[in-house]
Amino acid sequence: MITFSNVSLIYPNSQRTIIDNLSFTVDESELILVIGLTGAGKSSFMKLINGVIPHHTAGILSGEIIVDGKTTNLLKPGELSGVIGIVGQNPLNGFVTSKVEDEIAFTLETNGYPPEVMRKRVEEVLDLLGLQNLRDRNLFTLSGGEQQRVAIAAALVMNPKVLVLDEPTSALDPVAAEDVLAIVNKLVHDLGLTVIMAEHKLERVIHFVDRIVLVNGDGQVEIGTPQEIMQKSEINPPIVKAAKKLKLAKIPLSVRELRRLATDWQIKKSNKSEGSLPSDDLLISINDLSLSINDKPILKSIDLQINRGEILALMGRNGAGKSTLLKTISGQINNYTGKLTVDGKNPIDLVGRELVDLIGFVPQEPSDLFYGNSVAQECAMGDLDNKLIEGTTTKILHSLSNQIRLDLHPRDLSEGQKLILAISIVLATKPKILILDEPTRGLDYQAKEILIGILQKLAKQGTTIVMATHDVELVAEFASRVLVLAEGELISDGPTVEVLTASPAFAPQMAKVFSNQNWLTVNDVISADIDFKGKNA
Amino acid sequence: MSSLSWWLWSIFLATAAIRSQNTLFGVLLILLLTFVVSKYKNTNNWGNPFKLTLQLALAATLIRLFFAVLIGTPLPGKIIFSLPQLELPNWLAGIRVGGDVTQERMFSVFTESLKFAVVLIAFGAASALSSPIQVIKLISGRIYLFGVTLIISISVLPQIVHSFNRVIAARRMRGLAKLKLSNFRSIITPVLEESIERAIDLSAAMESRGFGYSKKPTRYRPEKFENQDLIIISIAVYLLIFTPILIKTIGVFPALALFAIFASAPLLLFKSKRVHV
Repeated sequence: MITFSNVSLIYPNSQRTIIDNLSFTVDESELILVIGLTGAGKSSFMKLINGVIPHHTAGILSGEIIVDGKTTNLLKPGELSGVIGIVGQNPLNGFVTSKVEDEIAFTLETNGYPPEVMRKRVEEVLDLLGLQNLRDRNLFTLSGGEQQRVAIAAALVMNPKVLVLDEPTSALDPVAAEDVLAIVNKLVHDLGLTVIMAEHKLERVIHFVDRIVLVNGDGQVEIGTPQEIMQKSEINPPIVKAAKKLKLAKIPLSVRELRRLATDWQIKKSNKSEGSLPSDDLLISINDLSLSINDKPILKSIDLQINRGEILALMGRNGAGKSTLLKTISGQINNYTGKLTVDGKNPIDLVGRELVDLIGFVPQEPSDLFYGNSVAQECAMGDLDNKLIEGTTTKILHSLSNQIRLDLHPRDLSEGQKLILAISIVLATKPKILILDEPTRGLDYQAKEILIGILQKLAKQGTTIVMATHDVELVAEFASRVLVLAEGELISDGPTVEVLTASPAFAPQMAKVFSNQNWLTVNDVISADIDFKGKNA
Repeated sequence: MSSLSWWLWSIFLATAAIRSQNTLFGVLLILLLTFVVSKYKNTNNWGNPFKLTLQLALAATLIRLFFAVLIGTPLPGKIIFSLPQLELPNWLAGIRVGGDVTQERMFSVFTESLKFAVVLIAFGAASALSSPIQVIKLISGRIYLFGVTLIISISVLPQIVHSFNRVIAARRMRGLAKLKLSNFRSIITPVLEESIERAIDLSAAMESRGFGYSKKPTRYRPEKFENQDLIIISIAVYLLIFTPILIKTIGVFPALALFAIFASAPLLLFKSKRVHV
């Protein structure tokens, strides 16, 4: 279906070869997963398939890519719109119209399909993706999962042979993500579509993909079955990581596979380290806090006490009110009712230095904070803005990561590096509370591990951390307490183990495998004394 | 009613009001547009563009009036109040800083700024009443680059407002409290960078979806051009032509009454609360 022959790609003004002499073939109706660290060139690889590179974006390409008998060297992306459907990372960025139905029909309109055909196709696609009830809705009022489904529908309406999805779940909550991925699986199996998909959260997809393309970032691209690639690659979901650490003969890919392997194991002793108890020194106190935006209730009478030194994870669906609660705590929203004090003060009254000494806030888009031309300048301005000793921010940056080049433009950093830079800027004033709004969006495993390390170190130094996230594995690694918000109400509040094991939607992979233990992370499993009965180890 | 009709209707009425050379027509039209928008507002991603243009028009008028009090060419007439006048060298004769503020001067400035306000508000009303993208699709299907540019600029606008708010909040959380001209860059840089990124994304998406490749793009649900569209546009055209003549022949107030009645044609024609656009 897709043939790459001797394909190389470099960008002008760049020393790095993204892809070096790659040849391989994707068969009809295959589901291919593309993985790699952020910034390794996954998106570039995806954009090659329909010719957006080199026709639309700069990029120097040699070799030939043939899709369904057509070469992208000669055809422009628009001429391939009937063969390849593309779904981007952020569906909102690719929407052209404002209504669900219009958006789905857009590609048909531009390709000049007669109205009768259009009506039929749009109905079919609406049914296929379960969007019938949303057909008249404004795209901007849909939830993230619904938006992503509309984007897939808009790509499918042309009956393409190939569907290319670039991290379709990175902005979605776990339930919505499962929803979208189930649809992808169905498309491959029921319609025989060829799907190329990039995805960071391997645990969600690895068990149903046919082959994996590993983009190394140094020009080398490896292709193989999930088993092969997992053996070689350092990018591993928790199940694979546990299996490798336990030196199992066969690498399991799903919860089911490891669970079946583990049925005979005898767990002698669990050496799970108990987290230290937080102090009873009250830092954030929220009583009966409610908030409405445009007459729509967003938060409904929240009661919450947070003690010094706690690491709190805030979970819940997209639109449940997580971001709003964080913004309220950090004094960015003032029209709430109820009582809120942070360290005895109302955060709204704080400005400038007073505010940043108390609360460090890392926004959902870390780059909102950046306005310098280089990382070095960014750090210098951070010092200047808050009248700190010159070099404070740079020193923190180096203590967090020495991988970041100071001469780069902040926009050219990878997602993980941007996040670390934003955290450094925020930490420069040594705030008592660090608030992070979905820090793991677009982060790979490696960047996530670095983030976990940073946050654990901060927590040891006594910084209170409050963070909104969809990432159960991250929460399992280090949060001491978990809150779940639903429709603006606090529906669950307790120690991490209790909350995460209570519902399958929030359970991390290790909890699903070893459901009779209190284990959440790979470390819990490998630190335990397990008798493998000789046959797997 | 078709999106195009709303645009033509408001453009023609705004031109008619300006051509009348009479402040009352402008004021009347602004009131009328406010009423029509409140009744037939279309829910699109623009949030509330009408409110924004109202605020902009008000701000522009106030700024002009403020400067009219301070500086300008002296216009003789009834003096409202006097400010201490700055002595200027001879070669700057004809310009005053401070000094007498006359009723005539203020009125002429107000009339001027009202023209601007009417155009701005008519634009806001049209975008609130219709979906701007529908109109662009109508006029730009064949002129490829023109269409891409227009669609991108229009869809990036709400996002700019959104990221502007976000960046202001982020700035505050970085400890930058006061808005100084010197650190204005801290707002503009991230907002512009994000807009450019989004524009590139969108144009790549449009390219991938074949925008502009077909010679004859079709419409999924063509906006029907019905009799009522024709009636409303014709009335607006007639008002555009005849308003100055009416003022001359039957006097200002009867003409104003006729203008009010005919310009509110949409209100009289449609009974329903919301018009499907």
